[in-house]
Amino acid sequence: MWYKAEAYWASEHAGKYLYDNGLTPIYVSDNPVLNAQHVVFEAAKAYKNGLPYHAALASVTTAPAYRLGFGKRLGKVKPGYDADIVVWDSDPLSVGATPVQVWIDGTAQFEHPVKLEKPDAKVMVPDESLAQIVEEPKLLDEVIFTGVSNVLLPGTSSTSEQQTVVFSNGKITCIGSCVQHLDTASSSRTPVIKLRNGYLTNSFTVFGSTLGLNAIDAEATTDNGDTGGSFTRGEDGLRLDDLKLHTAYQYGVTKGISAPKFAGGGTHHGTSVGFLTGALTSLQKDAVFASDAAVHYTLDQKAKTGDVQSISGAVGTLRRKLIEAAALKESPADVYSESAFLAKVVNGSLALVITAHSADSIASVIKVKTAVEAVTKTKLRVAIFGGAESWLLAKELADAGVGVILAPLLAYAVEWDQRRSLTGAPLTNGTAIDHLLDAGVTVGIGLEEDWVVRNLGLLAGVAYQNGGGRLSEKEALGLVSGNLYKLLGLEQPRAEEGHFVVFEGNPLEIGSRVKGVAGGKREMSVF
Amino acid sequence: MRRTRALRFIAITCLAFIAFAQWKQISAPHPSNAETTIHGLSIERLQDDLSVCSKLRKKAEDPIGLGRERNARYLDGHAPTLIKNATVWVGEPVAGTSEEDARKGKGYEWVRADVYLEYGLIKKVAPSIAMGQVADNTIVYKAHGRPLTAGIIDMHSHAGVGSIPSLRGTEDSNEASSDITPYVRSIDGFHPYDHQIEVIKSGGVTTSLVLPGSANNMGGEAFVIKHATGKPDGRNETSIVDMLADPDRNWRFMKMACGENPKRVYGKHGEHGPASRMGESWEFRHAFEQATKYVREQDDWCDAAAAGLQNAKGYLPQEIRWESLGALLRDQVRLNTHCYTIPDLEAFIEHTNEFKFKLRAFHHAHQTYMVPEVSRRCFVLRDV
Repeated sequence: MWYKAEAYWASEHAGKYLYDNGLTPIYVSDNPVLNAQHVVFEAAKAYKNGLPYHAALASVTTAPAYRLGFGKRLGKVKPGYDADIVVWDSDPLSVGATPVQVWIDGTAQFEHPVKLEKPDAKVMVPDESLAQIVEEPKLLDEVIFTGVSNVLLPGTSSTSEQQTVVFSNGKITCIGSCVQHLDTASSSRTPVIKLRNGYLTNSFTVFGSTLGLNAIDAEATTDNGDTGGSFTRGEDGLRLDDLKLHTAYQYGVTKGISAPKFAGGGTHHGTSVGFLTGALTSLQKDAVFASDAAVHYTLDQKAKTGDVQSISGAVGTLRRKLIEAAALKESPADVYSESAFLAKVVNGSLALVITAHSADSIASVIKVKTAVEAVTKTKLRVAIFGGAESWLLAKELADAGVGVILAPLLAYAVEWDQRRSLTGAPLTNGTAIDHLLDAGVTVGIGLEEDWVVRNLGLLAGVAYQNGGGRLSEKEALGLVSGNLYKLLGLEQPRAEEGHFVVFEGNPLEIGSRVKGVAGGKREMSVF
Repeated sequence: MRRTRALRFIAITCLAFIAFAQWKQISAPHPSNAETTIHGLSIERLQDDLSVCSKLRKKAEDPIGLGRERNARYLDGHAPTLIKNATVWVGEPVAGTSEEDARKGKGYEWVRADVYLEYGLIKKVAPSIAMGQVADNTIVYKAHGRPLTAGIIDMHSHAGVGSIPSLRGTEDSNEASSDITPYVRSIDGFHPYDHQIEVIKSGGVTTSLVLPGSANNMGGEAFVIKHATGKPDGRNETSIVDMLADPDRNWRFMKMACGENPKRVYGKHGEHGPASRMGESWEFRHAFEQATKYVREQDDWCDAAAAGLQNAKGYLPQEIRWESLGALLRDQVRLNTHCYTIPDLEAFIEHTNEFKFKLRAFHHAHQTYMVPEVSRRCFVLRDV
């Protein structure tokens, strides 16, 4: 929504509002802008955002059929209609829903479809409470949530009891039966919110986006800018308090790690900054939790710019910089210079993140790492951002101890560098994340475009639902929180420090809603 | 004496008349015969033009569903399929549900059913269909209770015209040489072996509207395809026409776009526009003005020629440049327009009323929810 000025003022609840006004919402892909393979997921999100279940299913079946003049032969399962049929492995409006077989004009389309193991193939009972929309949250110093059946914080063990969570002045002050707090709630006039199936998780982190660096992607005056060959620091370009960041916060994404662009969106150059999406300015206490989170360079096709006209040039430059840093006898005078940061990279104390999709570029990164380690005799901390073809090198990445932040989680070969993307069942056996996890690679989910920030929880859900049991719920949530910090060797501001989210429903499932967000502020945003 | 003068008068009058008649015949534009009219036009060609007139006046209708013996795509010899034990979403509420209730979602439910496909059509949907009720060579597919829906329809796709991975050589979604190109057709740039067509199908999408891009205010004609390419997918042949969802092409489709893209692509200050939304409205209106003139000239010709071929002073005005926009004005084309913002929406809706054409759908339409009353003012939008 923040990609152009004309897209800036919009609402994810538009489908519901249109429907309430007697108009017909239809969801589409604009393929290849979105991968049309997942257009039914657009309808699913519409349902999550308040469009009634039947209207959401209609939005990608009967409504477009009718609007195209094919209302009598497409969109319905009725005698006389074209034999265009899909059998799904789960409710089509559920997270990760995948066809098991597809028929067009009576002919089955997949000879040997890959099937995912889904223990729960039952259809949903539509949740009518999703029709209640709360656009703006209340800001509360004190609030109590009851009915929290799932506390998914790392380090806590699961219980089957419903628990109470008490928030006071920026911190959780109780998780459990919290009898005392409940008793004093009415006299202290603390709101008590009863959840049916509450979830408590760490808040999420948005990695590798331009959140915090621009407000509208296509509008240069709102943007930190492209750095080209200059090595700059994300903290020096931080621009806070805009619609993107407010929305991220409301979706439970209270932390961001963003690096300046190299040449356009999806490229990175310089150091990234770890910051709070809810901060007003960077001088606020704790607004920046990691001044220089990692060193970033870009090795995709956009690297061919300015002085460096080829990928081989970009790889050579990277290796030269690291080897020169390794050969330095004394630390550079300017601790904010590229040399100073590279000195930390080569001694293993600062992570190096390379933006690359192509397996060939990734292979080059592993080679450069090996070459530099031969000189430094110290292990480098390296991660790949992007990683569409990383699955081809899953074993090599695991052996080298290199992690991958997938951006997008589900690549679909938009560019040549991504051409060997695994698009998943029924066509391919697993997607990139499945192969990486099987090899033991540490994986995180990053953003290829900023608007995706609202979907981070659902993307973790796709990895969970379609992972065939590879991930537990906590591990799936870790893809958009803890794992990113593990890869970078950083400390994450967690629930204990006042960064957490309370959901009604499972954040990995479509029917969930954010009920409360705590992002390091004294007040909690409560919906 | 008087009788002789009278006779002389009559003779001179007759002679004068004969002379006049002869003169009239000699100076006629053309001698009329079986092959050409008095204006020298080919009668055969004029009759062809008259049949074009009836095509121009033809009312486009939604193609039927029930009542067909077979799907036009069905190939003889293909076996029927019985899908057993699925949980089916029919797509309409149970019989007897009022419109008001249906709008609220009442009457819609998932039902356990078997689904029988024959001759490329859905033949029967019933709680249980026995093997004895179906053809001998029926393929049985066990759905094991899994959810079953109609194929997903994506009404805004550039699959095939913007193949991925994107390469300059296969990028054919925008005719970016000129802002107003209602005459180009997405089908002419469609690559049936864009792998993405298969990937999209793997997500359950069986039908897509393949549109030209949004660089142009008037992008061109669009086409509805099914994601089945060639014999392995059950087609007759590998071709683009064989992928069309409706081989009879009962309806045509068109793409237009408002807003940031056209002015960014074309606006060159001091040279040409559109450089602003104001210019875009002008481009739209100017094009519709010309198409309206084109349609009127055609209608005038058709009316005159229908009354008698000799009335035609020339052949039926036909120009490919305005043919498709004319067809839109004649309500034979379903128009889809990409507009995001309130000025775009309101301006376009005004165009629909100024030139009396139907808009079927706004695409992207981010701000439509803010202006539902404006949306409803669209020329006959609600009952299309």
